Amino acid sequence: MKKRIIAVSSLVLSIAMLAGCGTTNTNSISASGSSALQPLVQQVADLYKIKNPDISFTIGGGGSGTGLNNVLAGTVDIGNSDVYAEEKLSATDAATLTDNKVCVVGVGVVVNNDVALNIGDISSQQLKDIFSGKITNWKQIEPTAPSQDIVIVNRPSSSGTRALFVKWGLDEQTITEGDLSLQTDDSNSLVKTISETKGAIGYLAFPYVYKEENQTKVVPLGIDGVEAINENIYNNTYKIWGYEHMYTKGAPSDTVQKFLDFMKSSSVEAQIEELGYGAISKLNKTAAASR
Amino acid sequence: MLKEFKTKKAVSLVLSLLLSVTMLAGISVTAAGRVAKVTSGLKSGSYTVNKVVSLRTMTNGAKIYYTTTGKTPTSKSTRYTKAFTITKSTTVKAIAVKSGMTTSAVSTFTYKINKVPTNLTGSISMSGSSALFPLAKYVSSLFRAKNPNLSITVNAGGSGTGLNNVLAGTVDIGNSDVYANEKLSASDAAKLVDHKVCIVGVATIVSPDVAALVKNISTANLKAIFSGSISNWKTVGGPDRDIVVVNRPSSSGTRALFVKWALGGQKDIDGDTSLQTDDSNALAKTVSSTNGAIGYLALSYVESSSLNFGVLKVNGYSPTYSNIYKNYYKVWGYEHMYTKGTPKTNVKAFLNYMVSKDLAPSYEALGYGAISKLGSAAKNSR
Repeated sequence: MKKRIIAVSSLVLSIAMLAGCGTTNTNSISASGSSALQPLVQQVADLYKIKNPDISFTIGGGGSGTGLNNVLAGTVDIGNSDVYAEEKLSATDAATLTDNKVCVVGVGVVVNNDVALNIGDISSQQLKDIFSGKITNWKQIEPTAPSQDIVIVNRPSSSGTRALFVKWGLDEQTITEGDLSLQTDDSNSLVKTISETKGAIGYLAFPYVYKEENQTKVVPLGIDGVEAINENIYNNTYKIWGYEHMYTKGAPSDTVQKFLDFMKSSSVEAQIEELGYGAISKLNKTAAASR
Repeated sequence: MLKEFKTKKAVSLVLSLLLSVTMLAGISVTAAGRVAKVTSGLKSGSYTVNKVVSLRTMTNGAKIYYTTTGKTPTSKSTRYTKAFTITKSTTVKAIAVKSGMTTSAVSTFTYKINKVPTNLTGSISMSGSSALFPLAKYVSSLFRAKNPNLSITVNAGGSGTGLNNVLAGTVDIGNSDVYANEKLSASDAAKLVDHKVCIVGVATIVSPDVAALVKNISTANLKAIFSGSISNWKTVGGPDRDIVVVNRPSSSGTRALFVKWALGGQKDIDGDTSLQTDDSNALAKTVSSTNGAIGYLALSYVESSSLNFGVLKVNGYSPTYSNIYKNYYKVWGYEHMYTKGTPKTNVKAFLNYMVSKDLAPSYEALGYGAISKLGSAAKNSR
């Protein structure tokens, strides 16, 4: 009987030690990664804090690759990613992480206002030809458009938005680095570069495409006659999108788990759509089965 | 005979040739076809701040012309060259034109701009419903940020308190989960003006030991539990343990909603334990920490709570807003903000802001439902 109690107490002790080894104390939640997902996590955290004022949040960006590596290394509680962990980490490392899918995000092919005055839609073949360097002038897309070189604005390879774009927009075709290659995984700098560079084209997560202050700066193109909007993701006609993931390593603390449960609850759906993301529950069967 | 045949054949050849040319032409007209209609980056709707309108068409090489006067646009209207800002309610009509193609249909976008005032002064006070309290506090802080010279005081105290306070004139707004005539005399209730701001669901919650075994409860069993005729969880599939009913005082609007919609108006609901404070958090804590406990809690407290109570399905349905909108889950009510007579300027502005479209998405995340999303069956149910 006594032995049993000792065994139990050593179990309690090791649990306590494990908890002690955790990266954070119980009243703080830290996350980093996907810049596409960052605004949503921040907004939901702000709402969550209203009910839970004693919980403090630290939410950073850095790109999906950074988020996955951080959560793997234990420097954050949650790694935000636009892509599955397997696509950025080794299979064994990815297996130590737990996936929480929280919403979907579309990736828009965007141009600046000058280009958009003549171009509203491109075919998926033309998109591939632009990013492989085969099509180099907007006049090749629309004969009545003024002659203007196409300038490709890229994101670094750690970018989850880039990974989604290459996978679903270019069918895995390698991107020929354009004349301009943005070397920061920051969506706001990308918007600025595209809006200020003549003939520019790039790719951008829907929440940034549809952000109020970006309406004067970038315009999303239709692809094969399909408008880049969430409704077309739900009905499986717009193909460039992925799940947004919040990865944890092993069993998360109670505090982190409760926040993740809230992120995944239907109560957050209206907020998800308001910010330009898509709700997982609204995908039709074909769209949901497509990835 | 032969000649005639030949002629006929020649004619039919020519005819079929003509026909195919026509068909080809028909196809090519379809391919050139009609210019795609203009879409806007800004959805039609009402907003509280200036908004940017960006227009586009998916037809390459097409030009967009638009009006902001309500007139039908032509190729002589303003040519769209870049996004523009609207500062007041505006109807935008737009067409897209390309030579060799049929002009697009007219697209109409209707925008209402009801700006939130930013220069309000004085004070606004409110009290009442603890279910509505977190939302009232949240919106107040947003409204205060826009109006730094305005002071706002938000207190809870229960729906009954709020209604009596606003009637006595000690607060500007009385927050209530129930209609005023359910708590006040008909003549007193008639003095108040109802502003419905959202809906709130009420969940049946149980302690963790019960939640481990019981996931669903029928309204018949709920009635029996709250009247005391079922007194052990074993009867409804739970642990062999006495049921501890945790109640709110009769001033509670959450209690009124629960009694009306979960217990069918049953009067006798006093359990072994009766919480004597009208505080939702205290109730949630008691249920979480008392073995065998059952109580009821507004979804605004269930949502994102860090406590360990369990939430029961009622008659097979979880207490979620999607189930409430579809009229599957019945235990809910409107959240009211009552004023006595016509509200003063700053109060009126605050009430307008409460129901503005900007706030709607955050309502659900805070545990409230949108009136606009109620299906007709749910709407007609009360």
